[in-house]
Amino acid sequence: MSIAFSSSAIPKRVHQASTRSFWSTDDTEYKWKRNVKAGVMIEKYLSPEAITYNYNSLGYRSDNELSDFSDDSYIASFGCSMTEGVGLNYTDTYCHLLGEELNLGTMNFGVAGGSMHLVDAQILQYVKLILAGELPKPSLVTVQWPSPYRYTFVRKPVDPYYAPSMYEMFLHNPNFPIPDGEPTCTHLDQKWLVQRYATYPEHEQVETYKMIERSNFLLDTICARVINFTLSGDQNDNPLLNHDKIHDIPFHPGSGELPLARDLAHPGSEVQQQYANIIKGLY
Amino acid sequence: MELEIQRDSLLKRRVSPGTREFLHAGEQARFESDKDDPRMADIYKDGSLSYSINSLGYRTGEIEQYRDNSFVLVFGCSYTEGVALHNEDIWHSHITKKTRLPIMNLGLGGTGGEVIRLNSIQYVANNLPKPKLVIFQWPGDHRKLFAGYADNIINPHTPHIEEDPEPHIADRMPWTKYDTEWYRNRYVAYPNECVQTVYQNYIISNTVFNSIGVPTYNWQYFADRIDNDLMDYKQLALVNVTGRTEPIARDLMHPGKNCQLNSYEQIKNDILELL
Repeated sequence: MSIAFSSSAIPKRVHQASTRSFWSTDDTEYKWKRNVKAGVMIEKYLSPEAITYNYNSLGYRSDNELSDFSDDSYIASFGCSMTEGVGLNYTDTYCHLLGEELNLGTMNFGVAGGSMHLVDAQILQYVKLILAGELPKPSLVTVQWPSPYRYTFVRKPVDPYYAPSMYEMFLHNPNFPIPDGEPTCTHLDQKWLVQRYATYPEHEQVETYKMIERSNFLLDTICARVINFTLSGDQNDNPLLNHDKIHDIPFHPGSGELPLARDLAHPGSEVQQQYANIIKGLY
Repeated sequence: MELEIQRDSLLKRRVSPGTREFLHAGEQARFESDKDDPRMADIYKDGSLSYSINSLGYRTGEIEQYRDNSFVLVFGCSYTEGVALHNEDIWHSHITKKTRLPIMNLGLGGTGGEVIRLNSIQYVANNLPKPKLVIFQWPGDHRKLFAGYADNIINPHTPHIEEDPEPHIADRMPWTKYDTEWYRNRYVAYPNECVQTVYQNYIISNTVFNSIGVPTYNWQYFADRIDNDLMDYKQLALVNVTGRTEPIARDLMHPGKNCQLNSYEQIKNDILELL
């Protein structure tokens, strides 16, 4: 998965920009058919049109463009698939539910498979453009920090969708294998990620600290109210972090079996409601 | 040289505070070996060159002694720290001579833009004295830091392009070989990752000070720059000097006092206008 980066815009998901679909990269029609056939699909998702993914001109899951909002009229939410709402209708995501509770619009910058580096880069560009007067200020920012072991590396794109001035932010996961063959950027990046970054945690801890500190500092410059949280407890072992600033929300705040989304991997709408309730309590 | 991250302060360099003729034993050994070299200027043979290091390991006064809006804050690498130079010969000392404003020198030899970025945030986030102006001397764009062997320790030294880590280092810190391989074969060979890092360093460092109303000035030696189409070079002055202008600095590596003065001459009009 890759995101286009340029100095004059928020990182853009070029392949999703201005699209509408019943499926997403993680919540695929293939998986759905397989699960329906296996008889394990959740009843409310038995229709192939049960979920709609609308992506705005930047490729983020929203019915709105940023230009639709005025200052202090919306919540900006950053994060990974938990924030994007994979396997859910947008109205079931915690960001939308929180917006309804607080009577604010929502701009969802969540990216499935996203990393802390991506969130960091998004916030940098977002704040830069707000300070330049090109975007409206948010009333609230929520930052769901993804797994610290994911990494985003930057390279010059070969994809013709990318304009010449753009760079490609390519998302890596240490669970993926190191590709065979020639030592391309992808091979070298994945190798370093697996053999170094995910194996010797000190560098990850320093990087995590740097990213969270600077992102929050940048958000402070636009006077945004910020709620930082993680959903998996991944940051608990990092002694550099101010754990008063980053709230650890349980992946499954309730009890019993975890309600699931359509892809049968991500938490379901009931859990997202619980996330929204907890975040509202922090507000 | 290691840097220690402290949440409530600047990065701390792990050297003892006080005044000394050499920053570390290696520098002294080098001088002993080079002192009869014909390139060694007489000004370095009389023992007058000294480093006054504060409690955080910087070649500057204690942070608390600076008063708001009455000093200039400088960031940079060894050129700004003034490695192997008398303090009065460093480029920013000429600002003091002209304006009588003291300098808070947060230059750290061997470091790169990531250290500047991190320290900029630490500085403002901890409400340290507000400078009248911040000057960033951006080090070599290819410099990259990797974390060290403890949670809060950074090894700010960029891996060597041509040499593998020395065996005693590779044994103690086995990750260094992975960092060196990736740095050499990826970060330098395919500079896009580097390009974005440089861009982020620049934007964040300037933004944090501008957000509290402190103007910033940016400059870089021409040789330290890589082509970067994310950067707006109108805001970054490029300084072109010949590093071999005599006298060379005491370590026979760094540019000497005349080169430092030449650097200052190329940027002084912009700086004095901001002051």
